[in-house]
Amino acid sequence: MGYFADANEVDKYIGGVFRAAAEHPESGPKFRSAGINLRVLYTDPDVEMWVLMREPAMEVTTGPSDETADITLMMRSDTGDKYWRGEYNLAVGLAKGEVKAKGPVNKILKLVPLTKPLFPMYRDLVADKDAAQA
Amino acid sequence: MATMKAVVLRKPFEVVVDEVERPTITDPADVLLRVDLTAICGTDLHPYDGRIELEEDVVLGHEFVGTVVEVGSAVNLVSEGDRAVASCVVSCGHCRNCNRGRPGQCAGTRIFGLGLTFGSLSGGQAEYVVVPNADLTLRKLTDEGAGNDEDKLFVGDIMATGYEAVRKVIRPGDSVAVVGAGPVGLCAAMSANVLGASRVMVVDKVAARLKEAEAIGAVGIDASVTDPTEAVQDLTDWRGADVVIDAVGHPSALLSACALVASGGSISIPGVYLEDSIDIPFGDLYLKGVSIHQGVANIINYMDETLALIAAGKLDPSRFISHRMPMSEATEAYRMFAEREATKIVLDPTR
Ligand SMILES: NC(=O)c1ccc[n+]([C@@H]2O[C@H](COP(=O)([O-])OP(=O)(O)OC[C@H]3O[C@@H](n4cnc5c(N)ncnc54)[C@H](O)[C@@H]3O)[C@@H](O)[C@H]2O)c1
Ligand SMILES: [Zn+2]
Ligand SMILES: [Zn+2]
Repeated sequence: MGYFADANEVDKYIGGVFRAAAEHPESGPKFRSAGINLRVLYTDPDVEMWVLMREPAMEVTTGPSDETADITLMMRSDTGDKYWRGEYNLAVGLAKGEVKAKGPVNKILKLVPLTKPLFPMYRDLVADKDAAQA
Repeated sequence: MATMKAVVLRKPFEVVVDEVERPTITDPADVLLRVDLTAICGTDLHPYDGRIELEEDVVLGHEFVGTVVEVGSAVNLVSEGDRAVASCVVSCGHCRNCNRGRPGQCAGTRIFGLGLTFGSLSGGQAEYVVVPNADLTLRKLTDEGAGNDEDKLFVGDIMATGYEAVRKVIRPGDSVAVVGAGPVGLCAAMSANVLGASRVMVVDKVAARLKEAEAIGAVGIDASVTDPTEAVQDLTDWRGADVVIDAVGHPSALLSACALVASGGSISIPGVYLEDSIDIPFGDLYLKGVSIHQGVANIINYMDETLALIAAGKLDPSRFISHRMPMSEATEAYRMFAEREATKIVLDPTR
């Protein structure tokens, strides 16, 4: 079985880390000024997640949206979990086809480094769930 | 003074059929052709709608086949009575770019029917036309093999142009997306089939033109219904197309081409651009390592290949002709083509 029990958990933890990022004193402003609409299609469990990085507030939602995506990513939810723990090499994932991406490459390059400071926040978020499963 | 009937652009949007002076041979390398068939090209629309500014009263037309009625003393490859097709672009044959295999970028590039700027060559939508540097510009037509004169007519322009656009960038097995299902785009799609494309996708908004694309096995993508970027990504496992042809010549099409192209792929642009500058997503193109090819087509480099493929039954561009009209109805023909009511119009100068 995968790490997440259902779509709600994907939203709670992975959506959660983006929401936490919005509140983060250093990362928050950087994400908002990126001006990128990110859509991530997680599979197994299936969740369509939208992260609208813009002023005045970053929005994180699940389900279809009328927005247009600058970048669309597709990966298994478990891959998302590994990524946010800092245990997944995105470049290798793209090469293997485990992660698929579309959208301007320069925008993707701008986005990826912003996520690194969030890895510890993600691990904090999932700590309880990890403990419960152990 | 001998006269003839010809299609004359008085000023933008004013096309008339008029009696004009019949051109004569002035150089030993010239040939005088009696025009048998002539077509209206998307490039004719540029002076027609004023995007390219010409002087008044220009005899239009650069796509034609005809019969040789007079040959200059230096012409060796055709004789009186031969049928021949002319490259729409006339090059000098000995400047630096000609020597480097780039006749489209010849220092003295001339184009029929585009006025003073392009060498004052009277156009081919007329009963007669003079073809300079005839040994270089003309190809003699035979009756051998498949294809008729309506197919070979296009070797002088849209067929060679569409073919070159694909031919200089494709690798066998590549996916090819063509933006614009006008005659040039359709010829590019047809060429992609012959040149080994694994899949051909054609984007436009005109239903009749997309149908033509589908009839030759391409996937038609109607940009008024679907987002072409999404459609092409879906058809290529999110890679984008290895080869993208911009067969339009409008910034909206170029932007679309930039979004459709795969990393490591090529954009090839037969569409004509005259803008001072255009905003394109340069960082994305750089990081994807995209090559861009463009410019006036090197028609004479590809006439023999396309003629051979027509004779072999592998290219049949006459299928894209939607209307055959007497040249006397040119005013209406231009209106129809400009309004995209017709996909390709061939005119008969004898009627
Ligand atoms: N490089 C050369 O030597 C050379 C030779 C011949 C023609 N051309 C040029 O090629 C271009 C096409 O010629 P044509 O005869 O096919 O012309 P055309 O005008 O008949 O066709 C253009 C097509 O593009 C479609 N279109 C317009 N905007 C679009 C967009 N954003 N996305 C998708 N489709 C779009 C139109 O609906 C139309 O069907 C013209 O610019 C012409 O001047 C260049
Ligand atoms: Zn043309
Ligand atoms: Zn030259």
